[in-house]
Amino acid sequence: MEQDSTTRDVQRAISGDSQALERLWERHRRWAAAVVLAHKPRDVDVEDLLQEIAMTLVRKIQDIRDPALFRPWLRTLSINTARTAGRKRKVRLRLVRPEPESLAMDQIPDDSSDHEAQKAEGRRLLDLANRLHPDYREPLLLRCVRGMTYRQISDVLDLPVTTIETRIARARRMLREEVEFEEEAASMRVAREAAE
Amino acid sequence: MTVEREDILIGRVVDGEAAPNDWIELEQLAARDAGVWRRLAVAQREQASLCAGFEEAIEVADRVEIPHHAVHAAHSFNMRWRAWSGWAAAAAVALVWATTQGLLPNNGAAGGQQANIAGNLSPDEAFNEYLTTGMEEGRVLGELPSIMVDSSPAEDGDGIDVTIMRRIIEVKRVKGAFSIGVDENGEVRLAPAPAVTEGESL
Repeated sequence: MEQDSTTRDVQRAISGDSQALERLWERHRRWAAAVVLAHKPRDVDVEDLLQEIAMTLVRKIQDIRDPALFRPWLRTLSINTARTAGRKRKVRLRLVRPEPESLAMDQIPDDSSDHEAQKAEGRRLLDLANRLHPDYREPLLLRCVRGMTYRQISDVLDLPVTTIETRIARARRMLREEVEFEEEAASMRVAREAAE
Repeated sequence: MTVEREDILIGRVVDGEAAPNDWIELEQLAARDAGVWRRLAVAQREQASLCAGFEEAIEVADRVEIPHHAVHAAHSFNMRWRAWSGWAAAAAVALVWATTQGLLPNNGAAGGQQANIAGNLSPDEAFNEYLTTGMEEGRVLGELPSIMVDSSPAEDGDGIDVTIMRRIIEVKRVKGAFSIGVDENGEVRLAPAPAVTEGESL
């Protein structure tokens, strides 16, 4: 169903329907962000890359021969944008909705300390995930995009479901080993400092 | 590295993809090694944390919009290109036919009227044309959001005149940059300037 509506919107976008193009982008920008995150150099900003992808999407949507292949096309575009980002320095565009200057008291999100701790742990894990090969990092991160299923990830990456499952399992194990390595190194540092 | 069966089963449970048989198999593994449940708990906690970190990292995506101006510019360019390419193909066919029929002198330059496109465009259309052509050639990178400078009631009373500043990002290649300096005699001299990178100003 979702694939059908995507294909319809791609057809409309190709014939100049700007609302269809907007819908496509809104539906896929988080997904593109996951791909970018899996392939970008560490020091490059996700937002800048997404700006570039959005601009290229507008300019090149007419080049898509088969609307059913929009997602692989967008993935390739995202990967290429992420990979070339490290090789060129460009003026950075800011085509973003302005951030709200202030939030009313009742709009302030309720960030409990548990939630904050989880986010801090998440940042650490995401940082460690950067050490993994993109072949493993990408399916692992795609799993976080609104809970994409193995099947959906395999369609996007054009790989068998069993390969996706294996790569995610491997990625988790490698990530766990990185966590253990870091924790061990940290405890050794503490012990050394205590001895001094 | 080999992936153990346990990793696959734990992965399926964490990802909500486990079938009843997977649960049975996992329970059998846990009957031999109770540490399986601890490893499952760790995997679930780490996946939840990773996704929280991921969500935080990509929340900027929700603020990245399609550049509306570029949509219009790109579409109008494509429409025009289609119209022109069709016309050009027809003209080429006609030219070949005319030549083969001896209607045109072979050595003569095919004269014709050159459409004055720019002359027929409104300011908005001309501006879009500039953006489109600029983007095609790689000179224009995009347009930043406009800034409202002033607004006042229209003199004829029909609406409001809004003054905006439109900001275009362009790339230009220069062969060499120079700065103006003063030499030891106090005379103004041009000196090669170092390359300017992002964040610096000329």
